[in-house]
Amino acid sequence: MAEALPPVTVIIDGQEVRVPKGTLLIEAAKKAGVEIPVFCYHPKMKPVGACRMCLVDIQKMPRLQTACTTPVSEGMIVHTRNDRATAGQKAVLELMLANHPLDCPICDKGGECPLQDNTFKFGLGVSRFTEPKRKLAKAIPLSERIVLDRERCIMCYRCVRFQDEIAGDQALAAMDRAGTSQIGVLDGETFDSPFSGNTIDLCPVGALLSRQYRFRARPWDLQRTPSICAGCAVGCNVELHARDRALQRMVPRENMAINNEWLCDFGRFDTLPLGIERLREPAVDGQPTSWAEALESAAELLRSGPTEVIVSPSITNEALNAATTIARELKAGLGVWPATTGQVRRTIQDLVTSKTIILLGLDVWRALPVLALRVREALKAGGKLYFVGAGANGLWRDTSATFATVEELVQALTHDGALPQPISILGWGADALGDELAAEGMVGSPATAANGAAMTGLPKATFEAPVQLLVGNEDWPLRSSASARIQLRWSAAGDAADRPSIVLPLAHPYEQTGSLINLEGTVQQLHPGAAAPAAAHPDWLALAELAEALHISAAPDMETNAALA
Amino acid sequence: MLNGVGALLRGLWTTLKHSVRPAITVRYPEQKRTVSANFRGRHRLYRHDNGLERCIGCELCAGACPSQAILVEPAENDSEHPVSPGERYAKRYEINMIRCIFCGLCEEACPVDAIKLGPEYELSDYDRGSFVYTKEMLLDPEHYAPRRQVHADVDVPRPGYTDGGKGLSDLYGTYRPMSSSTPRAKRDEA
Ligand code: SF4
Ligand code: SF4
Ligand code: SF4
Ligand code: SF4
Ligand code: FES
Repeated sequence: MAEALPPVTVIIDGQEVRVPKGTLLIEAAKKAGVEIPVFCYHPKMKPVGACRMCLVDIQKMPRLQTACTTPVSEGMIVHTRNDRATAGQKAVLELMLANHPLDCPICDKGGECPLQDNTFKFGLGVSRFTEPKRKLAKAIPLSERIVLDRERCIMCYRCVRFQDEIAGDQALAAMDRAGTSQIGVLDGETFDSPFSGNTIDLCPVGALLSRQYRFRARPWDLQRTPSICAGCAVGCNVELHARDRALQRMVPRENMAINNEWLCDFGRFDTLPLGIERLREPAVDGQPTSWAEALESAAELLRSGPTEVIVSPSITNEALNAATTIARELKAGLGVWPATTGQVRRTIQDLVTSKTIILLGLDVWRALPVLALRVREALKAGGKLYFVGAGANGLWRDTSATFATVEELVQALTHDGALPQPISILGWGADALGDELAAEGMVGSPATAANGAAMTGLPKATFEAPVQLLVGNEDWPLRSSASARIQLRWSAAGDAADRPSIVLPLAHPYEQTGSLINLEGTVQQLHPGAAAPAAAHPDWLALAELAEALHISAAPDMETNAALA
Repeated sequence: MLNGVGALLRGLWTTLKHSVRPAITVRYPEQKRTVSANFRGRHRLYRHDNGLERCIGCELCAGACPSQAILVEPAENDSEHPVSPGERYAKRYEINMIRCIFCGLCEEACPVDAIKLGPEYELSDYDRGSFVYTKEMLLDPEHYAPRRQVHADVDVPRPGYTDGGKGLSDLYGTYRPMSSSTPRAKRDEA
């Protein structure tokens, strides 16, 4: 917004900075390397000036001003650490703590809490309040995932603003006024937004917390590993947090080209291998055995008959590579299941800058959740969203018009001139429509599975061969009695009726290295954030071992793997 | 020369003097000295008068410990059968006595006076594993006293300790169980 505006010079704590006119003082201070404490301000959301933490002293202004809502102007002289400003900051913190329960010892935010940090850095150090504190309900479950502590809330509205501005579903609301105001969901509802987990990261106190991570660790217990979400083809950048090599939680890493700094709840909570029974040992016909023996039996079985190699679209590129080699050498069929594959041209960045976005029956909100948030970014910058088809559309609040067919859309929208470019089109048949409209944005039918973009060329699996090698953690269709199956998976094989002849335990994607290609074609690395069960192997290693047991040289492919890694 | 003889005599006199004074050493281990009330020996975990554990599983002791001797795994209290007042308790609490340097920072860090260093100092044992003191052992020093130290002869009354210190249960006792009913937006009665 500010690019056309002329730069102005401001002096913050004696530091001179030049920033575009209209820049918020808080951002100018960041540029000058001056830290101003904040609670409610968040660079991804509109400033509201709710908490008053960011008070600074601006020369020629009679009173302290909030740096997060004040745009800079030429020649402004600002003091953030003089007596007036620090007295203001101390007073704000003192009042904030007057009713804060300060039960840090039992609060999961303790150790990574902005209220603790700001109090330590900018606060008074002692409390002068002896009056009893306000008592409100604690540990209120807002949903299966989120728990709210009303006493701790400092009414910064970050959570409400996230649900309103970023997710757009307004799942949270602020109610009542003044000392009795509070955050909540409407009567009789639960906090069910597919993005609710982000409010945990945003809440600057321990008011909104994760139920999954409740009382599991302190921040200083955690080993942090950057990795990639294996939930879907968006490929959000994450950090895995483990305690003693056991996974505890997943949080986002900022990557403006992919996930901004958001995660969906499915990725954040449900892709973790927590509370899921793991496959711990190789087994042949239900009998636990060693890897060597299981591989021998598997090799024998694979050589015995016409074979089909079936891969899940969520396995790593390295595993796909090894599976391809095995299929080629065995002259076996190679298929993918489920067929959640696809490719697009251009990138997520081109989607975010689109002026027109057309969804052809694709419910981005459910299938590629964080991509829906990126779509909303485009809409906030003035883009328009159209939906074609009768199916569900989670972005219905933001959809300008819904059409039954593509023809209707073209007719209705192009009769008075072309649609504004760049146009992004996602869903089945996007390429044809993209050509028709000369679309310059992201066009195509995106993959939805984590590595679906890498498997676009593969045919859909038939499950007809008498011997089937199934690679990946899928709910495979039940086998016919005539076929024998070798399964490589990380969760315990479900149905007893479908008990595979041979199972080999894999590491979970968050316990191994490997690469995944996201829907726009970016290759990203997984890094092991936790220890796999002792006998579990990474998917690519298990397949390389199987190739070796089959006397197939996997060497050339392993070199490619090394190049990819 | 004379100086030398003088020094020799002075030395002899000192020796003689001390040999007839009453001894200030004790015949350890037959005799044991009463330790000071500030002595920092084996740790103890305390309970409230109602039997609940004081420890709320906050991990601050573990965070403060300079030798990383403490392991705390917290968990959520069952509202029917709480282990400690409040929402949180220590499911697992262990101190590795080989690592501990008896600095007392854990007791300093504890917000609810749950842990104190006690008077027992004879902590030798036969294998490394037995130096990991569990929560059970720390909560019950009478029962799990170091095996060769006669407990009573070192244990002087320590004011304010055995009854568990300050009444902080007010602060941590505000727990109401997480209900499974639908959350309400209305102001809840406190
Ligand atoms: S719950 Fe947290 S994020 Fe929401 S208003 Fe309260 S303090 Fe702010
Ligand atoms: S959008 Fe996809 S990649 Fe991102 S967090 Fe959700 S499941 Fe994971
Ligand atoms: S006394 Fe010191 S070294 Fe020993 S457990 Fe406590 S903090 Fe750690
Ligand atoms: S002993 Fe004290 S500091 Fe340590 S976990 Fe328990 S309550 Fe916290
Ligand atoms: S950060 Fe400026 S008012 Fe909250």
